[in-house]
Amino acid sequence: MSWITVLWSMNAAACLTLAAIYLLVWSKHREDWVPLLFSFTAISVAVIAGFELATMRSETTEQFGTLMRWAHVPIWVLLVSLVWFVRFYLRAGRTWLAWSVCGVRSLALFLNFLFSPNLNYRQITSLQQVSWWGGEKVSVAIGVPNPWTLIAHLGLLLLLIFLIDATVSAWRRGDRRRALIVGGGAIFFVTMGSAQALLVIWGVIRAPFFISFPYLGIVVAMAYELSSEVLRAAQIAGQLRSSESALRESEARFRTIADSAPVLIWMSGTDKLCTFFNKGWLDFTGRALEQELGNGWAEGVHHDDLDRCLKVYANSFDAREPFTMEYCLRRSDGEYRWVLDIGTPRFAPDGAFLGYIGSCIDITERKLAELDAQRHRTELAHLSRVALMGEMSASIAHELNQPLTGIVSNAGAGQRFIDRGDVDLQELRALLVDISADGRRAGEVVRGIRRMVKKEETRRQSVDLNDVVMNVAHMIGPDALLHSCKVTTSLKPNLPPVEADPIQIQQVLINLVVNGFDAMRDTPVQNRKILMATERNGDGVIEVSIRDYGVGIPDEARDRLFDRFFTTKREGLGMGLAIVRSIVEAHHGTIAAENAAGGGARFHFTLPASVTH
Amino acid sequence: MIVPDSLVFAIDDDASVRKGLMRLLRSARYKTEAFNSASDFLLRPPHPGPTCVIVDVRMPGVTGIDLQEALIQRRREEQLIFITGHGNISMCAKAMKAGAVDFLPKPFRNEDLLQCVGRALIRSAEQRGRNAEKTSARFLLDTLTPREFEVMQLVITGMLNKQIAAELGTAEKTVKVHRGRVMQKLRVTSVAELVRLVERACVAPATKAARETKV
Repeated sequence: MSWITVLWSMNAAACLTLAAIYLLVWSKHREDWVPLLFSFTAISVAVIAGFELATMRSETTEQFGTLMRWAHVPIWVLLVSLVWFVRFYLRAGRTWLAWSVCGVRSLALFLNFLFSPNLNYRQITSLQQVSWWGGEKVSVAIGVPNPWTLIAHLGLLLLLIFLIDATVSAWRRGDRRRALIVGGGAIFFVTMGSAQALLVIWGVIRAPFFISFPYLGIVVAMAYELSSEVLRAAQIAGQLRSSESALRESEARFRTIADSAPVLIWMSGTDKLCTFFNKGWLDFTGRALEQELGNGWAEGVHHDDLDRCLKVYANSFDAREPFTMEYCLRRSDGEYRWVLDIGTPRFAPDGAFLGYIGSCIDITERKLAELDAQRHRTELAHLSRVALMGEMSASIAHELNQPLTGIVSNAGAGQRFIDRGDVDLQELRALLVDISADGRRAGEVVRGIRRMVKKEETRRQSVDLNDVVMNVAHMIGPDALLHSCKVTTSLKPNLPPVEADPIQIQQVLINLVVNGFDAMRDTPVQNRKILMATERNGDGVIEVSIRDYGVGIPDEARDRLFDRFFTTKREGLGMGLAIVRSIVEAHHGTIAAENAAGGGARFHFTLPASVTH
Repeated sequence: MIVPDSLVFAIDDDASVRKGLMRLLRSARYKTEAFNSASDFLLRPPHPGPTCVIVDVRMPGVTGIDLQEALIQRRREEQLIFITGHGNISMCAKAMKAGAVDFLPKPFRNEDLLQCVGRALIRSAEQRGRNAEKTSARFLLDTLTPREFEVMQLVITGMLNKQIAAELGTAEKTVKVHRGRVMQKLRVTSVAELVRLVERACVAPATKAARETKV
């Protein structure tokens, strides 16, 4: 068999095979035009190869001319599909140039069917049998070239311009590999093919057309690029598969960690419903996962805590904010345990909200210890108040004895009026009114003392510190007299209220004032003064200060002033200031002391103003 | 048995106490006046008759003890009764030493207070009488010449004329004349009467030391 037949057939077969593959690709993925355009290109190259083979074997000039004329159809298909392949694949090239190429080539095709025998020749005079390598003889036409063939050449020129432009812009864009292989390949082979055809047509060389080979080069370049694309897709798919398995693995790892962690872990989705509870949680509550999912977990929360708990959860959830809350959760044995629940919103890497994850720990022991400590504090504060009462005995006696004296005197007077027999009923009535008023006054004093001495839970309420200071200044008056000391107040008007236990704050003030009395034992009588002042200190902080003109704070005592069992007094227990500090700190305040300019000490403590004012 | 022309003052900063005291005193038929501070009381002109002042020891401003000092300084003869809601021993001792009638802790028994008031008014009246005698005795003593006074001072020590003459360095006869004039001027007839009069006037008999410093 002739090697020419073999070569050209192989060319066509290769092109058809590639075309078939990419037609198949296109049929699976129809929105992408690139494989289809490639298939058209490849098929047209195969058809051109067929035409070339036929012309080489043609025996008459008519046959040759007809074959050449029909060969323009696959050429047109080839050029048009090449143009649009490049346009879509490289995503470059000017659209108007692409259309120009198509237009000019369509005109050439149209003219081709007007002329006889075809666009290239005005007349084919004879066929010459040219001997080729290996003694093969092929037919080559000898004739007059048709000047209209320049239209076809113009189309090729435009194609080259389009290709160069598209290649350059793809290269510049950074898509260098594609630009080089597809664009560069197309430019190179188009130039080669066109040059060969031109030389043959214009009779410069006597040789058959074999433009199908340069175009095979283009097809191969295109196929090579496309296949590397397929490879890349496979690679990505592989990566996806492995990342999926990594994801599965990390999920499994998370579950292992979550289930072995000694904490209770839960997760919820974007709808606030819980989607996961770890083994720790399920073991704790003794319930099945299905029971806890959604809102089932709330059944285990103590009903006293449930409303607050759900409110905190919902509010934080809507604000996408982390939260911390404490509530009682039923353990599998039915006992309610205090848990500390810390919830955090979950977000995807792209910022999308995914829900919440939270962990709980059993803080019952800590809570009990806290309660215990608080009970101790309360007890100590109570004892200290009782002790303070002792130190205030003069004030208390005075406060009680005044109304009692009034009562006793009035009652005696009444008796005498009656005994005398000249009772002025009006006078008697006034006297009895005074007696009952004094009785009430004495009762009030006793109630006040009871409040100070009574052992009761601290009760926070909204308190105006100015009232407490005034009250203490009044209460302590008789003791101040006993110590020949003047107590004055300097109050900032319109203080915001503080959330406090008024009895305890009173205790703090009395303690500090009584300390002041003690500190001024050696102060000359005319200098014995205590100033109690209130002040607004920045945002939402109220400062109360007690300044005396006593011996001041000795240097060695300064650091330990508020320590337990530390005292500079011979008969002191060293509990007063320690309790004062514990009370202030339990009210989220701070206390400090320093020596004041001009002698004496200044104790000052701050309390935060109520938020809701 | 109310001391005639007497007046009782009640000074306390506490209205309950003041009102009760006033009524109690009125029920015992005392004339009363009340003040809520010692300084207000001091602004009032002194009562001419027997006077008792019931005062709270501890009051803001002028205290009861301060009032007592002020009255002593002004040589006033009001009798003070202290009342207190929270007294201590040292205060009590100080007040009593300075001549208070009593020191009553509140609440006191009404009878105790009224007895105290009665005692105070009697004491005040007596003081008043004593003062009147003293004034008249002093008036008489003022009529003596210095030499007669000297002789009188020696007479009341119980010296004989001869001893007095020796003491003063004059003749016994002269002493006798002076002595006669003293007895006449002071309207006394015996040495015992003279001694009582001098005592009422609170004049000390002459002592050796006193004389020596005088010379």
